[in-house]
Amino acid sequence: MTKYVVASANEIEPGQRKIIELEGRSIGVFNLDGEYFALLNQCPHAGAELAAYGTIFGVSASEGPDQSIEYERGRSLRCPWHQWEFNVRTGESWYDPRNTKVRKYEVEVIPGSPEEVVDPDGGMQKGPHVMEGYAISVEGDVVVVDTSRRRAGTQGKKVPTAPCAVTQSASTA
Amino acid sequence: MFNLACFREPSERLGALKTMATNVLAENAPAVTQSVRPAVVDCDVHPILASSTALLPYLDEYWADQLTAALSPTYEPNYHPRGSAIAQRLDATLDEEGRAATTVEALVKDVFADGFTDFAILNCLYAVQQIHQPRREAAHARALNTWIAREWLDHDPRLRASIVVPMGTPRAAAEEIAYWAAQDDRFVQVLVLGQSELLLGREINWPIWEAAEKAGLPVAIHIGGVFRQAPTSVGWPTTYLEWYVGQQANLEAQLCSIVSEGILQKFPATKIVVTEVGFNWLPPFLWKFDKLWKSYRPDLPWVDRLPSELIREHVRFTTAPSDGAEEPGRLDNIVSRMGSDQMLVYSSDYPHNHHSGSRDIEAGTTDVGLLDRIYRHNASDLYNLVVPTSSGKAE
Repeated sequence: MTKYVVASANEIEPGQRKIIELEGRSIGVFNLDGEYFALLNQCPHAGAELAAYGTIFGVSASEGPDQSIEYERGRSLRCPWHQWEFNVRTGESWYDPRNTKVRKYEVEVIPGSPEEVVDPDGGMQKGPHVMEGYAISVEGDVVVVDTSRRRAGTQGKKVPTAPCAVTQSASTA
Repeated sequence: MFNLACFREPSERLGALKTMATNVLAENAPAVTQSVRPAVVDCDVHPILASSTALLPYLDEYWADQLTAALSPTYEPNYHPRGSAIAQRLDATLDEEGRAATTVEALVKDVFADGFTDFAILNCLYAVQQIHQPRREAAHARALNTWIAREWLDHDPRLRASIVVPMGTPRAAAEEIAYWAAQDDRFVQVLVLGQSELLLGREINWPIWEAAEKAGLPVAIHIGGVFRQAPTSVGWPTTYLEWYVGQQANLEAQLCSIVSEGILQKFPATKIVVTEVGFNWLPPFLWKFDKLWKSYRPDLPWVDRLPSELIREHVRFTTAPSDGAEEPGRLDNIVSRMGSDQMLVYSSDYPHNHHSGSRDIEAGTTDVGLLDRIYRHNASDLYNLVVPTSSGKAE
């Protein structure tokens, strides 16, 4: 249960990202039009540096081949290797959200400079990059990544999904 | 999400049950309370039009005279050249010219010889689709279907047929489907050929899918072609062997097109029966289709499920040729790799002669439930064909 201060808010411009390391893991923190999101920097498919080199893309949907295509920019992160789409807000892949997803971290922006918000007795901690690479005297809001809410990872233990037809053969037999 | 997709809507099921009550063999007209079972359906049997002059009674005066004036050319496509190994099985009943399946008597005698098959679906391959003149093609399609109804269906209640359509003009094809669907429920399917002028998913072909869905008929995609262009995607093969084997790749292209162009979203009740093209090639194709779909999904935003899932739900394959499924364990293996026991429907492909007999596939599995699906249930789900349980046949 740890929150880390990883950057000052004005450090990650809209449309930009920052790669940090927390608890031995590489994590990408994104600023999309003022909203911040953080995802593990590793694609669950083949391990590419998804957050570092992935493309922020839109999500398209359509009711049918002769219907309009709804397209919303800034919703997905596409892997640099195979262009699989992940929901940048949830880490879920588009095509199999339950079984193929990249770990997501909660991000918040809180007021105050790093000196003011870091708790020396635990709780809020200075993120390593902030300590090493950046002056911690930056004025203004800070970006905080929370590593505490873990969900079960999916890499290497995909839930087998039964083919539909086989499982219901009794219904017409 | 995998499970739900394959179940029919309750209303659809009700409709099927109603049909079951009326589609029973006339000769065994059952009491109202009599129970029925899904019929054993031979989903691919070929009646052969020996001469184009046989169509003269079914063409109007203009087109009959046009045919006669042209010295009655045949549009026999030679998909199975008469002297080739595949053309006709050695034990077939022959006419005086040594040809099988040219008369209803000969075909019925052979197809129902084992007392096992309840219904057979006639897929006539006489190639009206190769007539490039649109109105002539439509006229000959109508004549051929009428010939099928009068010379075949009228003579044996166990026969059903596919509607031959003028593929060169999809609007006319849709009219042909609607025409027969409105008046003759022995036409239980639409027949198109694997090598079409434009891919079957293309919008120009949507009238065919629309009409088939409206009529509640599956669409059989059979080996064969319109020959408006080379019959493989990269040109003209030089041998029959290349042509026959090469059609498998055309079917991959057609399934790719049908899924990608959104036919199964636009016409969600669509059912497809890939006929006489084998099925052992399907699993690696599905794997690749799924795999690349994950990368290129945004190109087809209406496809909201894995292509393999859509194909499992909407597409069936006939068992002849068997692609080696008669080897012990092979049928089980292929069904496992297909991911569904609902995709195969039985066919003999009579009178064509393949490397194994029609029912040799039984040696490929020890699962009687699977065979029951292949022989009865999967086809019954498509065509709603049932027979009374009192018919004395094994259950």
